[in-house]
Amino acid sequence: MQDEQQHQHNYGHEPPQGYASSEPEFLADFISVPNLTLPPHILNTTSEVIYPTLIQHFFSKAADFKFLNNQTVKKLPNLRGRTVVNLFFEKSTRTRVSFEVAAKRLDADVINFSISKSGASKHESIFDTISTLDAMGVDLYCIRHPHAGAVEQIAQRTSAHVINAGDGHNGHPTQALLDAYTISEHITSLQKSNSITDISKFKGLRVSIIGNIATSRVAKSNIKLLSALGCNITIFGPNTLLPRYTAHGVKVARTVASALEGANVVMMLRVQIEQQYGKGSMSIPSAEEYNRFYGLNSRNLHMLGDNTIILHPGSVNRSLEMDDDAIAHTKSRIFDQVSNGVALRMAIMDYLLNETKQKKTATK
Amino acid sequence: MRTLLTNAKIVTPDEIIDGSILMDNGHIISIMAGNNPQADARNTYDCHGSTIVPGLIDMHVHFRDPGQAHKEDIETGAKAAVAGGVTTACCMANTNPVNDNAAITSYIFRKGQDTGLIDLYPIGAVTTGLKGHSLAEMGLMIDAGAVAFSDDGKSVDSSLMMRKAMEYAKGFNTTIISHNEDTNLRNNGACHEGANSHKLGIPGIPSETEEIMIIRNILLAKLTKCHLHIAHVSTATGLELIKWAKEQNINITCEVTPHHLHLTDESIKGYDTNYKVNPPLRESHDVDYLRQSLRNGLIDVIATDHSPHHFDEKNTNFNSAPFGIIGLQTMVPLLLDLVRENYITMHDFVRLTSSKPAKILGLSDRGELKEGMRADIAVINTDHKYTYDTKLNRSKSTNSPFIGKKMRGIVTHTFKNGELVYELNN
Repeated sequence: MQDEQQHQHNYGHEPPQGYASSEPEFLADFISVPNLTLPPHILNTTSEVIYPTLIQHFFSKAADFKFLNNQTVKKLPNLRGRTVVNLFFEKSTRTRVSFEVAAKRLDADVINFSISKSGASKHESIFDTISTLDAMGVDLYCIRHPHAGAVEQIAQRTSAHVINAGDGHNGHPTQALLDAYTISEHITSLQKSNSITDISKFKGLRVSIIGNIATSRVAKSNIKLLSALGCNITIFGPNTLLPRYTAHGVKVARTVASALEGANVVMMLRVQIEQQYGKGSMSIPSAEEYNRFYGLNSRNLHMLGDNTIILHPGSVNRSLEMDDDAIAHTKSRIFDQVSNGVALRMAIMDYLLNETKQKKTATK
Repeated sequence: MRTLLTNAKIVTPDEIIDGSILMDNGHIISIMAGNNPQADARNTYDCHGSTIVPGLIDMHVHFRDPGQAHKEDIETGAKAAVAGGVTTACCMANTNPVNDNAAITSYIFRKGQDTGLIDLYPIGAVTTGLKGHSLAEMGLMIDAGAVAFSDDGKSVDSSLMMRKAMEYAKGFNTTIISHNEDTNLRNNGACHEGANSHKLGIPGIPSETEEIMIIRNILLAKLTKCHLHIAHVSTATGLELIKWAKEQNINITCEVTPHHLHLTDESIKGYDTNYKVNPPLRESHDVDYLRQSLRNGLIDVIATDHSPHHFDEKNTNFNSAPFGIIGLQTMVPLLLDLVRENYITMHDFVRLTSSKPAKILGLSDRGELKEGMRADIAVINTDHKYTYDTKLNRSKSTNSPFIGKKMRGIVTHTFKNGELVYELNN
């Protein structure tokens, strides 16, 4: 494992054109995609799907929708007459509600479809289920599935638009986008001159992601998106939960202290108790040990810089990955992430259903 | 207290010096050639030509404390240790309750310090209760004094569990010590499976029982890059596998016990349960290969696997008796036999019993005789001939096949931090 290096903090004073030439290989890929082919789906955070102008568009729209969400009457007719299906093959409350609220704020007809109660238990192929729903005239699916790639497979077979709401250990693009938006909001609040849509601010930001990196779709999507935006990513966690292979440029910290010191953003990940901790756990010995060595707690909160923010994708295990002190801390942006999640998802839905000019052609 | 040992053969890293060694404040102040150095020592011991080596570091003992004080406790274990020249020992986690948490680790460490005889470093359990199902709190145990982790006495049967354990341990830069035994293959075996087990009618333990797990653990060390220390290797093929792994630069070390260097399965005569040990005593070609591998560095460490059992527990039929041999006080004479037979030099002796274990455990203040090092010292009369008997034995238990056997070479004085902690009464 490498130790981290010191970084010059750069809150985005460099002009956006700095993107073009001297960037790492990955970023070159990232901008080489012609902006003409608009993606009909949001499946992951790789360069083919999410590119700078699209991120700027999402951020701009999300800021508008966030303003709307703070009004007494929170409704716009952008998706009136459109049908949005929340297709969840895996238990979820927070994410499903976020998608549902987002669609309803834009006046779509929303159907929540929990698949374990339907076709799957009748041994119907999920692709047949999709064809059936397609025939009813669905415009957009927001899909969560326990297996990597399943959402992409569905997207290849439907005539509707698809948003990946989390597929196995693979990706959770809307989470990464809302995290990036929350970071952007924070930097903008520090520098009044900086606009929410100026993505050059990400360049040189140090983001430390702590916890289960190996099987976290949140970590995976965030690492892709944020490193493409120019952030320096450091990961840390129990070695049992770190990936065997790390993306180019991602640093691995040895201790929680070295992960926290100098970080602009500390992203704590949720310990999946049901999988990783408790009786029969092979990855984490105990809550006490996890909190002591890998958690954000009263012993190490003071290591955070003055302008550092704390993120967490949601449903925190108190006293496991974060102590009460950390959750309630002024640096915590956990609840901003939730509000931003709704606004950002509204922006994505609005974009897919109103901005994509080409009609998607299913590759059957 | 300033203490001077004179008239000794001092095994330093570079040479054997005929001279004196001066200790003060727990450390070695100087090593001087010649027998009448000018030093204002409060205590002077004439060693009468005895050999001085660094206090031995035994990486593998069972002190049965807490929970099985009828076999041994930390006090008696420490007394047996210093009587064998051992000043640093690491005790395995299979106590009762198991050392799988910081409270037990801390109890063992402090009780070791309280003896004032040795440094006792606990080895924590890899899995809770040695059950092989879930990770033990390694980080918290390290904070409480644990220096390595092992489910010794049992293998970690699940390869996934062992992988996770090695990955987790790697995060703390610590060592996993593996007990290598395919539990299913061992079945109800009680001694090495060979012509002799057939002759005796005792269920056998094939060499492969050990070798399968050695190579599994080696491959997991390759996968995880965790440092793996392979405990008590007993077979030639096992060492061949270790040789291969070292050639591949896989991060492993290994140890061998003195009894596996001296006894074969043919020693088991009359169903004497003091010969029942795990891994079992193997065949003569294994012993030969082990002996040949001492000098070329393939074997990193000699450790006793001191495993006391009460007389009543061993006083039963061979199949029912527990596995284990005590070894703290027989390590020095048994290794001196190998020096005399030219398998090893005194420098190899020191490397195998002190300097390499110190390196593996990260104890940079000991393991060699040189200025500034901790004054942990064993004085050995290498030629003294005697019978090892229960009068000499300091352990609570007597389960050694060497009891009543003629020995040559004995520890006469042991110093811990410059203080005399053992003197042979004669």
